[in-house]
Amino acid sequence: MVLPRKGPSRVHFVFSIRHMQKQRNPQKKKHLLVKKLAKEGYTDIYSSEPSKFIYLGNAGFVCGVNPTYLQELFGKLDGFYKLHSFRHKSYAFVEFKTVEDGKRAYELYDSKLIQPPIYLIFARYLPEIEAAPKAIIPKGLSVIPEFVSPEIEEILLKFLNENEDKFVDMKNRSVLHFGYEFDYDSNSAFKKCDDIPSVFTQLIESMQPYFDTYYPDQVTVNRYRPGQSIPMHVDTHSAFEEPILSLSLQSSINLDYTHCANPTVSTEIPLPRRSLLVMKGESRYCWRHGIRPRASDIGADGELVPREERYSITFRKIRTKPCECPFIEYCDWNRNGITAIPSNNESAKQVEKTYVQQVYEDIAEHFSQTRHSKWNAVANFLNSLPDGSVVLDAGCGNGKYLTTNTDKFYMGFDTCHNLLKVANTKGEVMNGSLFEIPIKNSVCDAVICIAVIHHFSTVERRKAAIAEISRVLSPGGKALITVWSIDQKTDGEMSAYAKMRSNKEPTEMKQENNAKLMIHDGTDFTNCDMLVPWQRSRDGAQFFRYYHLFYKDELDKLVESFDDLTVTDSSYEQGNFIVIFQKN
Amino acid sequence: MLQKVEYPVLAEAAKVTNIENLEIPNELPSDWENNETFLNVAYKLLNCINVVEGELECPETGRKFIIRDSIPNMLANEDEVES
Repeated sequence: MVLPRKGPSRVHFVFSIRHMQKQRNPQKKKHLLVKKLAKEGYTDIYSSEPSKFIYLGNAGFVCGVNPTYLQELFGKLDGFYKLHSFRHKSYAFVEFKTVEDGKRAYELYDSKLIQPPIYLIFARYLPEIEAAPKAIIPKGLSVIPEFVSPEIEEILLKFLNENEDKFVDMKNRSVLHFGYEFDYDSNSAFKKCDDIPSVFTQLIESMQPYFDTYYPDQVTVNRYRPGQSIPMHVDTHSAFEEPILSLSLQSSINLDYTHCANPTVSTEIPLPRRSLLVMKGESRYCWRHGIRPRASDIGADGELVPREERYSITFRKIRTKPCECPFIEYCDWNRNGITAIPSNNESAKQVEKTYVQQVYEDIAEHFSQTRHSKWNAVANFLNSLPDGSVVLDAGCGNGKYLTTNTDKFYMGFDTCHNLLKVANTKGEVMNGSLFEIPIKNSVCDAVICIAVIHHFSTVERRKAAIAEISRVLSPGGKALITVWSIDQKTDGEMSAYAKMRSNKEPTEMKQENNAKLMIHDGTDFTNCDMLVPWQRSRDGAQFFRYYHLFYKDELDKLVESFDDLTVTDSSYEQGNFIVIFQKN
Repeated sequence: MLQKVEYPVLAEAAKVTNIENLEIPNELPSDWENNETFLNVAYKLLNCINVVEGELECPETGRKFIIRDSIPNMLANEDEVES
């Protein structure tokens, strides 16, 4: 078992006795693994005789087994030749120089590795594993190999080594700035510091075609020793132009990328030594990038690539005014109010037009397909109403609830024309708004309003919607409202930790401008008002929907602020608050 | 349901649709709750007939609301509503 070391160091390890005990019933497991391999097409791979190839079952990257661990186990053995690991497989192979070497390794470890359990089987040959599924490459990203010659690299390294004492130690790396000092508190670079040294002049000239209209005026050198890292981040939109160029010296590394609107979309980009990374467009504005604290990476062919001390020299052009990128929702300021958290009715209507009404029109078909099952709480509510009740579905969407009972009279309305086209096949519907419900006073025995009110962006508008629901309810009439909770995990009560997190940014480096609607990046909700991504299935297009996330009791209090309304039931289910109330 | 509807308006609207063989009284009969014939007519009007294309006109303002593909558009315009 490898003991991870913090900070710069050579990796060293200690064998714990726990990891070398007897496995339970290894024969049975090996039998299953051989069958599994046969299914992949490698039917005759099993060898009953010792071989220089050993299959390692359950030792794949996807099993959570770090190739570094395998390297430690086998790398020091006599005759070790190569470790073959595959990013997308649950197994690995180790290759020795001779059969004797393989036999020795097998005898040492067979049926003895238990934490994690790894199964050794002699293999007659090394299979040609087809490449992992095509890796995602963020749009606008390119890597230019051998951008500098080894001679130039040497000159640059010499300069950096001479200036070693100027480097400032951060938590997990060391930095040195030229041109402008990078301010990590505001994540921007505005203070002038040492001029860009002449040793970089030639380099900058050769980068000119990538910068196009200007020269970089800010340089940051990062030094990473093996095991060091930088947290996932986006280079602040308004601080720097695009592109951002980064030269890798002395060692290669794999750079992690994760999409800002979809954390399940992530990839690793190998940066060879002496290569130039160019980040433009989406890769510069819509993806987070970072370096994981590891001592090695997996190369393109699945081989283990140990990290050496690496320098990255990043060249950027300072921006003097707020960002104007085409990725408005991803930007670090509210873009003249487009993504500002609404403060008045006008801005509220605008946000809802862009990030609720228009989005639902665009995603209606796909959205409707995902909305077919009925909530128990809602079905129970509807079933509890007397026969002949007049029931209004305010914001009926695709009309899912309009067919619940045949012994009641259902009506629905929605602003979304495209969803109404579907709802129309299920019942009586109209195009209408919750702010001017097209129904006369006091005629509805019941109203349901499912997942609608959280799309209204000021407290006044949310109240106005409830006022309208109240108006159309007959005296004694009942209503059921559901909204999204800001806390998606517990019973609606925000844990102390979650409350604390709700004021912190999801990534270590802060994002600017709190008056802006932030994109929900798939983890906890961090603000009450957010833009939640929706990816349309037919073409993968990205949309954002505005949501106001509710605290526990927030909706209850809103309802009870009306003299003639009383909450009769309040519950939390699957990330939603469900409130039932009655009109006196 | 009949008590919630403004019957005279319903009757007026029903006449416009020109349905043959349907006797639609102008006013709600006083014995409507037990009047089988009437109840059948009312049922037809409320549940079986659907305006697919047409318009609704507000008797007070004359404002027309268009019905297309069975869906009436009751959305008010910006200038018609006080925020």
